[in-house]
Amino acid sequence: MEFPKESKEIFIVDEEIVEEFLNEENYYRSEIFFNYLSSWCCCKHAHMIPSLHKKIIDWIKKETIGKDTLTQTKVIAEFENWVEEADLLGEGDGDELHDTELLFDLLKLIYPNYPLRVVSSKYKNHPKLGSMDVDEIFQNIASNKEFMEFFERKYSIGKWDSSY
Amino acid sequence: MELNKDSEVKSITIVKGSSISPAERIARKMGMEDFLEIMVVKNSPLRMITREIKGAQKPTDGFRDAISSAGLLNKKFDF
Repeated sequence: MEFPKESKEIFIVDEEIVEEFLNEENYYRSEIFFNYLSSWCCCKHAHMIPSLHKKIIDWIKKETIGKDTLTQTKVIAEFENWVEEADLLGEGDGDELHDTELLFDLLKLIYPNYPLRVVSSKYKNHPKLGSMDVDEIFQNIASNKEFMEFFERKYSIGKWDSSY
Repeated sequence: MELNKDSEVKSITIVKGSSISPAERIARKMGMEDFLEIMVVKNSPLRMITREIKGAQKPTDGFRDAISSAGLLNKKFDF
């Protein structure tokens, strides 16, 4: 098998997939997604509109008040490694739908031949964004036989639907 | 290396083994499927710290550990 694969997919995410990664019992779908980004995609990280990105960083800071600088800044840096603030929007105008549409249009213009996927349950019926929720993106990635075989082999885990 | 609690992590970048030079990969005993974590830190003897993510270690493990250390497991966003 040729490795690494370089899928040209580009992702825009909202807070849902990040929140799921915080879940102790049920983080496997978002973990697969983030591993898919780092192992299989040329983009390596997902994009997020600036207002939402800032909200998550502010939330991390609020929730880690009293923790030492190393602990607080490390979790923020990890988040920023996986989810990049789409600074090409500048600050955005804070309207999530508007900013997501604008980011979608910008990325479509910059990468006209790359599949652009929005991971959010908020815009599932949106005619342009056609977003997928966390479950749908997980099913989508899980149906990529080549990636799943790589993932299961590399990390010595069983099939996701039986023992993962 | 052990960082002190006042150290400030400015950035973390994780790259695939396949994207670094073959010489660097050999020196670090890394495979194409492994990853290299590059951390830029302030208030630390070393400004740049690198760590190989090899074998069964996932590139996401550091994020999970950081979430756990920060006490954010099972928390919900409330904004």
